[in-house]
Formats: sequence, structure tokens, C-alpha cells
Amino acid sequence: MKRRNLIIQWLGVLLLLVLLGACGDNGTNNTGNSNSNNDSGEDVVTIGVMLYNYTDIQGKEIRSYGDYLEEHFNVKFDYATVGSSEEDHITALENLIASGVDAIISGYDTALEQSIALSEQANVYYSVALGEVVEDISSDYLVGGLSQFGENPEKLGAQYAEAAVEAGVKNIAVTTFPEFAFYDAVPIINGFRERIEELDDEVTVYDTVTHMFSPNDVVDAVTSIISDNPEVDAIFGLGSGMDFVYPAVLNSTKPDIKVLALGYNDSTPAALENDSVIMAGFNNYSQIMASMFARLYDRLNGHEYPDGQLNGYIDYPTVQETSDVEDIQTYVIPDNKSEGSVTIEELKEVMRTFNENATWEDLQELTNRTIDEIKENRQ
Amino acid sequence: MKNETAIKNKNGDSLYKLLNFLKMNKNIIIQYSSLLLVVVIFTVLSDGKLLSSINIQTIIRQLVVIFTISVGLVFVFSHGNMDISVGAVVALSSMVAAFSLNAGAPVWFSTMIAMSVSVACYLLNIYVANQFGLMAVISSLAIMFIARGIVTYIVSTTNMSIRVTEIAVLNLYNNLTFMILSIIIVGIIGVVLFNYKKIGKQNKAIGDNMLSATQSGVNVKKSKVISYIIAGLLVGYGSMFSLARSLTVSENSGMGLEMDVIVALVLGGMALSGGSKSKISSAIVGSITLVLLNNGLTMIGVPAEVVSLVRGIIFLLVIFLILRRPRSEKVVPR
Repeated sequence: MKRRNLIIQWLGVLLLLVLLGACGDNGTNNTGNSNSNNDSGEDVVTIGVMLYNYTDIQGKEIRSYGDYLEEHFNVKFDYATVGSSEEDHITALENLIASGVDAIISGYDTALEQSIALSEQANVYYSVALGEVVEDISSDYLVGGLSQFGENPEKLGAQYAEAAVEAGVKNIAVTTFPEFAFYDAVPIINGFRERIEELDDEVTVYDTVTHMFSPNDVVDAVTSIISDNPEVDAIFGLGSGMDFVYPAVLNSTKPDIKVLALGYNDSTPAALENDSVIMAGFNNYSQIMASMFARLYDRLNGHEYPDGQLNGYIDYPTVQETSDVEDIQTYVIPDNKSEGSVTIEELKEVMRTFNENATWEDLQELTNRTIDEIKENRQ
Repeated sequence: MKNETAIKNKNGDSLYKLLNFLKMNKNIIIQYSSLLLVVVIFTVLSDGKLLSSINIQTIIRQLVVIFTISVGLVFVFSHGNMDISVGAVVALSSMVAAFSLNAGAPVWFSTMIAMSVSVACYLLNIYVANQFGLMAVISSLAIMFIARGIVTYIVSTTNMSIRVTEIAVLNLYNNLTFMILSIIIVGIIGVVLFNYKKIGKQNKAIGDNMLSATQSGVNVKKSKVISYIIAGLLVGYGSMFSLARSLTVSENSGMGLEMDVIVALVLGGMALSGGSKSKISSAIVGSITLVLLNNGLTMIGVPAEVVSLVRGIIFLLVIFLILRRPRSEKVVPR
């Protein structure tokens, strides 16, 4: 009886393997560029997007801008949800590659070396949208990354310092994710400290407190700051300032501590209104998608910027007043993307596929515009 | 006339034998039919892309980790125990293996180290459970926190993520032939140990009724320790494949793997209460089904926002087919 069960089980597995093997050679070999024909320019290219979710403002905006691009270019975006582990990232990438995508926009630099190796094997271009590529990896299929905080992140730190001094806070704690996960934190904090020193020598900026990635880690960090330095009256929260640091402060024993937040969410307007947040910042997702798409689409069509670099940069809009929030809603996250930070016409102007004189600097200039510059351009 | 009657009798006899065979092996047939159903549905919906050569390679690469680990954990789950530390143990084993490889150790030695770390974690798990009379799931929770805590602490002390500096050393674990061989060998070892050796029978007896098993002469503690060692060995071995796939270890390594294993085993028809209904084929069928499910949903282009919903519905359908207990089936008293 047992032996018969065993035989049946293994016959089942064998049948499946034979079935898979038999059909294997007949299938399409989807090793990249399967849909595209770069000569005709008519065929649709498929770009896979990998993010943790599409339900937060980041996911929604990236998707929304992707829809806008799909309406005007021969492109289709395949969105995949990835887990945070390396294994999940690689699995999602493998699945997208097997489904026949021509290029990948990954939100993160997770398992970068292996991701690029897999992409290279399948002739698929790979890019990192929500961070810079800092690892020393050389591949024709690595398109590059993107600094989220402008060309010079120290300037952003200086902006926060000016807002802090303007608000009159005197004892500022700094919290952030570890450096290995957030490279830009160091120059931003340096810029912040230097500008504070220049502006007001009575302001104390405490040593940076590093925390991990869960809300509880941030609660622990805030609790420790308050118990070690009860005089703290502001926290510069770089690690999800609005999502993690602000709620942690509100639920702490000193909810009157003001927050300088890197980040933005639905509670930001009210927090600015009641002065519990001095400044918040926002990733410009239209600029992110525009920059990555332009580089990938050009590559897929056989064009490359002669002066191109590995990492591009985009602007990081900040908000201090409720009127700034209106600007964000009008120019950064508009419902109608043709009125947003980067329109199709503007984008085509800086893409080599549509303008052979376009340069890398043109693209950076377009995708690094401040809200004031965008406003000026629209008038 | 006699000949006709003989043929009729023979045909009737064959039909009876076939029906009897189908009845006797109903559960196994349903188990494999569900898997076949998933293959057929996704093949049709993906216009055959699911079975393209590149995708089969992809499926095998994704299968090897979950398959190896699931086979190991059948030995734990058959007690009616549950292990939720597997993700953290994989992360810790991978990290130690990465350090070992970076220090210049050969890959076989690093594999032994990864397996040793994993076995140590599982032994600690069962020692705590046995010694303090805790449910194994509670002690596995503690192991999860400890292992994840060690990985997180070490990762946080470095500015860069931990990665294998010399990629070529892990070529063996990225070799497709080696993966297929490994799947087959692990499968055979699992089947032999679970179906034909004392340990498998003892596990099922423990899962059905621990007191009866003890009174029947089963050394429950010893059986559990052996099962946890087997699980530890295979989890450690699986962690090498996991490391070879990503080449990197971070605080997120192995995150969610425990849930994947549970889902795979349930999809394969494993009763989480353990006992005589536990089957090693649950790990085989379940892990293949899980990988096909995840892969197939991407291949057919299911929108990201409904992937979880679709996965849930398919999960429900498959477990309905597999785990639905026929009314006529007698249940072993507990």
C-alpha cells in the first residue's frame, strides 16, 4: 500500500516534469525586447515597475503618472508588488522578466548586483527610481538611479535649518534611518548643522539618533531622545518624518515638540496649520517617473545621452505654509498630469528619441525644477 | 458465449479495480489534480508563456528554496507544531555563510556552517519547548526574535549591506542542474525518511495523539529532537540557495518566508494539526503550487492591486479541493 502510494506520488511529479519539459521548448523565449521593434517605432515597449505597494501616495502617484505616459507613448507598464526581502525582490524581478518586459523601474536598490546580473542575462534594462546607485557595478543594462533630494542634498538640509531658526526652536534632535539604507541622510544632516551654526549659535543640534525601519523603532528613538534630553523642543526626522516621527511625538510625553519632517502625508496640512510641524517635504513622483522613463525609453529605442551619468536628480519640494500645500496639489500631485511638474511635450523635448539635440543636462534641468520654476514656466 | 462472459467479467473486474484504486487514492489524486489545474489554468491564460523554457527555469530557481525548506518543516508540522522562526533562521544562516565565504572558506564549508547555525537554532527551539513544556510555536517565536535581532544588530553596525564579495563562489548554488538534482534528492530523502523510516511514523503518531504515542513506546522528546535536526539541516541548506539568489543579507532577508512555508504546506494538503494525515507530498505539491501561483499571476498580468485578492480566492479553491474531508472518511480519534 505504502509502495503504491509512493509510486503514485512520484508518477505525479514525473508527469508534471514531463509536461513542463515537453511544453518548455515550445514556449516563447521572453528574454527582453519581446514586444518591441525599435526600427518601426510602432510596437509597444513594456516596462515593469517594482514597488512595495501601490496604495500609498507614492505608489498611487507613480502609477498615475505611468497611466499618463501610456496615453502618449508606445509603452505599457506592468506593476508588480514586491516584498521587502531580497528573495522576494529577486522573485518578482524574475517573474517580470519571464513575462517579457523590456525594462525595469525598481523602487529600491535591493539585491542590486544580482538584479542587474539577471537583467543583463535577459537583455532587460534596469533602473532604480527611489535612490542613487552607489555600488560599483558596471553593466550596459544598468541605466542608473536617481537622487531624490536635488543635485546637492546639503542645500535641502540648509533649507530645513532656516525653517528651524525662523520657528525659534533651540534644541533640535535628529533622527534617521541607518546610513546603509539612506545614503543622502549624511549630506542633508551636514547641511542642516552647518547652516544652523551660521544662523544662530544658541541653537543646539544633538547627535544623530539612528533607528531601524518599523514605527516602533521610531517610537523607541523618540522616547530615548526625550528621556536623555528633556529640553529638546524640535526633532528633525529624516526617517519617514511624517509617517513615523510625527505620530511618535504626538503619542510621547512631550507632544508639543515640533517636527521638521522629511516626508508628507494627509495629516501634513493640519499639522502645519497648528504649528506642530515646521516643515515637511515631498518626493516629486512625476519628476521621478519622467526621468526614469525618458532614460529607459531612449535606451530601448537605441538612443543614449552622450553626456549621460549614472545618477540623475530631481527636486524635493518642501512645505511650510498651507499655501505651499496648495502648490503641491496643483503642480506635484495634480489629478490631471498634463498640468503637473512634467508634461509630455516638455518631456519629449529632452528625450533623444524625439530630439536628437537633447542632452543629459536638459533632462536634469526639466526634472529638477522647483515649484516656483514650474509656476513661472506655466505662466 | 463463454468467451463473451469471460470478457464481460474481465472488463467488469478491471472497472471495479480502477474504481477501487481511484477511491483508495482519492486524496493523492485530488492533490495532484489541483496542481495540474493550476498549471492548466495559468498556461491557458498566459498563452503558453507559463511553460516557456525561460519561465520553467525561473520556476525551478524560485522553487528550490521553498521546496527544500518545506520538506524539512513537514517533520515539524506533522507533530501538530508550527514554526514561525524559519525566515529569521534563514537570514542568520545566510549571514554567517556570507561571512564565512568572504573570509575565504570554501563553499562546502560555508554550507556546513549555515546548516550548523540553523540546526543550533532549531535545537534551541525544541530544547526550550521540551524543557519548559511550551508549545513549540511559542519557542519558535523567541528564536525568531533572537535570530532576527542578531541579524539586525550586525547589519546596523555596518554602513553597507552584507554581501558576498566573490560571486563566483556561489556558482554551484546558481547552477540549474544542481538545483534540479537537489530538488530530486531532497524529495527522495524526505519521502524515504517520512514514509519508510521510524521517525516519520513516530511523528504522525505524536501528531495524532501524543499520549497514545508515548504509551506505545515512542520516545516523544527524542523523536521531536530528531525532527528538528532534520528541519534545521534542510533550512540551513535552503538558506545557501537563498543567499546565492540575492548575494546580499539585510535585516529583511527571509522576511515572510514562514508564511510562504505555511501557505505551501496547506496548498499541498497538509493538515496543520499534524498526525496521520500528514504527507511529505504536501511539501512537494504545495511548494510547486505556490511558486506557480505567484509566477502565473505575474505572467497573466493580474493588476498589482488585486493580486492579493486573486491569490486568496485561488488559495481557497485549492484548499477546498484538497482539505475537504469526505463525509465517509473515518477520523482517527484524538
